[in-house]
Amino acid sequence: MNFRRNLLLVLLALTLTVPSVAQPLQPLQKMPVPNTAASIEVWSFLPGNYEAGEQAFAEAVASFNVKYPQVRVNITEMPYGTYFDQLRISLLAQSGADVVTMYGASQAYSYKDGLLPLETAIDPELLGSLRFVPENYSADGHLYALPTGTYGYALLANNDIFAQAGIDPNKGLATWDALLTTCRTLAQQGIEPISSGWRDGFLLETYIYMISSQLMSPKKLQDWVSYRIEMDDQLFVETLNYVVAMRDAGCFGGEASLGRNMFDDTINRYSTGKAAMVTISTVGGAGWASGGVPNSSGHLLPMVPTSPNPPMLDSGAEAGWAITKWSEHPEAALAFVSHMAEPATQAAFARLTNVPGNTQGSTIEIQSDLQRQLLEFYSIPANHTGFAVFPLPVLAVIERNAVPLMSGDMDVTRFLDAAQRAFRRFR
Amino acid sequence: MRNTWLLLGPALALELAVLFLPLFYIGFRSLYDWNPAGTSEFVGFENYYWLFTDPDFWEIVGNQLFYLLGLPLWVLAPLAVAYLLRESVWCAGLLRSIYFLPAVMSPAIVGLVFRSLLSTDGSVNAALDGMGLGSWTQSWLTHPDWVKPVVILMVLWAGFGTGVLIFTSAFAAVPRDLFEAAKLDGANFWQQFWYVAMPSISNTVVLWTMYQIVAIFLFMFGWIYVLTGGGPGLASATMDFSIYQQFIRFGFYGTAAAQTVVLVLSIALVPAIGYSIVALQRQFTGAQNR
Repeated sequence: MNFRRNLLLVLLALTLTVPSVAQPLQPLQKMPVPNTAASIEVWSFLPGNYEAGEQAFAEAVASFNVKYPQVRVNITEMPYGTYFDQLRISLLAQSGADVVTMYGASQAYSYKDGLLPLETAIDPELLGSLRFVPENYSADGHLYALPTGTYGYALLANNDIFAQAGIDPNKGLATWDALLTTCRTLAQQGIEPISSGWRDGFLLETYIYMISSQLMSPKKLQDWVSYRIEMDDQLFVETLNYVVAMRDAGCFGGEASLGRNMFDDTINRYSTGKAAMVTISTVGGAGWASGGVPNSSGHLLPMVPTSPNPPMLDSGAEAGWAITKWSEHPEAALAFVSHMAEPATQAAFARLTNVPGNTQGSTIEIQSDLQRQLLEFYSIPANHTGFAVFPLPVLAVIERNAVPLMSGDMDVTRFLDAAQRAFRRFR
Repeated sequence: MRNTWLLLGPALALELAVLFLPLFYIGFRSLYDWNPAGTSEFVGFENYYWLFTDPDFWEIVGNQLFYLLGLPLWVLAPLAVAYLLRESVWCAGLLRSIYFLPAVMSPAIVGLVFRSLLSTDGSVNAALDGMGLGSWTQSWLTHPDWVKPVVILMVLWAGFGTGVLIFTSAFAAVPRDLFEAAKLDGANFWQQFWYVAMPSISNTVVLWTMYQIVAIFLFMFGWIYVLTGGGPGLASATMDFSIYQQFIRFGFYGTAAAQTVVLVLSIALVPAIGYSIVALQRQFTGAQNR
């Protein structure tokens, strides 16, 4: 009886410990796609981001099938709001899509046990042709997501409102001090300077990306990518102080902005003429925002006085593509991910979505002066971003504390203490 | 005896398999740097250390205790209305159905509706403005002082109908003769309520109170997720919401497991304290009567 009981206890203990001895991941290696029929599942939130998103993906799949007719690709579009939760559940179940849209660096690192490292599997020529690759490596030295597309945070200004306020946007947004003065002047005239919504916290993240990128020298960016600096670094203290300076200058309007979201409230307010400026991240977004305000112009966020960089834009990969470790057809998945990053695919994609690729010299078909302006910004060589390096738990703290910070209920020190605690936890 | 175990066996096995085994598994995993898809390292009580030294955790515990301040409201409001409906009221059945309606509505929909109504640019503030009460407008969902009372009122709104239904059933089981005898003895409406109705349904009141306490710890996720997202900051976050965030958003599986264990113990502890108080009170009342 004792023997049986002990045996049962040992079996139970073994059962409970099985997941503890799983093997660490090995990087994916280059491999040819077999000629046998295969089917891969792709999850992405991207198709819904663009008017012609479905068509763009259908064309990308069609051109992939020209090369690999034996591989059937099924694209499943998922809403962004719950996308990463779905991925987490998929990771826990160790099943789901073969290929997923994923941000790089620390965000991919959070899902690393479900993703295959790609650095040794991607053709070096293709990898070398892509921008924003170094900052998409995770701190463990692996590349879990192959970056594609280009975003860049810029300001749109409603020239009519500026004219009404007697301000030339080119002068009023030329320097940091001029920006603060412009905000004060607009606010005094009862005009909301920058369309703002803090409830979902994304706008605060946006300004933190924009300003911290301005403050990062190439070396500092490398330090951030490899986590040699943390959230308690002077860099982030300065960043937050600049955001608070904008708040105190009245750049973000009144208390009502606390209850609004960045998506889609700020764009809607700008496009209905209720604010003088808005922050946009893509050329497509600029088109949407300026739909109701045709007399819009694009501007860089003025450089903060302590920036070591020349005028630049916080700009990086729009997203990236990752392969899950449970994929039954990793060869086909690798071929698809590579295909999505190839210059020809990105060029075709850009034609339909207005998202420039991240291949060298990638562009879109220019249809307006605003687009031309934004593309000029996108091509500034000094552009960079530390966006993908912010760990998810830190972003969650930033998001949830956006309202307390912007309402003045929380000061910068407390805000950064909370972010740093999340950062240490993550590490 | 053998037959008893044969009959009980399947139910016990099922209970063990679906309830207690997962619970023990979570408890076991709370001692690991749990990584469901990779290597999990035994860390002892480190997850608990992280949890108990994290100010965010204590803020969330504070929120849970604040929400318990709504308990008298959640119990007394449906109790009073059920008592009033006991009398010959016009269309009592219709009124009960109306009160019960929120109980059959999805928390997601209710949360979205309330969010829209209570947003800074929402209908409630617009109505207050329209009535010349602009100074009463508030950031209902984005101000830390307002968001918790708003959640308490929403929980009242959502659970009110169920409470009315349960108390109505309890009152229906009380013999009418007791009330008639009390009337003949000259007891007024509230004396009948306090000295006849309340003692007759005290067990139901205790049961409903305990259910509300458990609900505040366990069933708040839907409301918080949709209505406030736990914010502003963590001002409205609950433990179940926090566990979800730790597990799904951050991938801190071990901490989420530790927090689950703490939540289960809290749920067991709070009603235990409640029952102890009731038992002590009854003992004290019994001793006084003797």
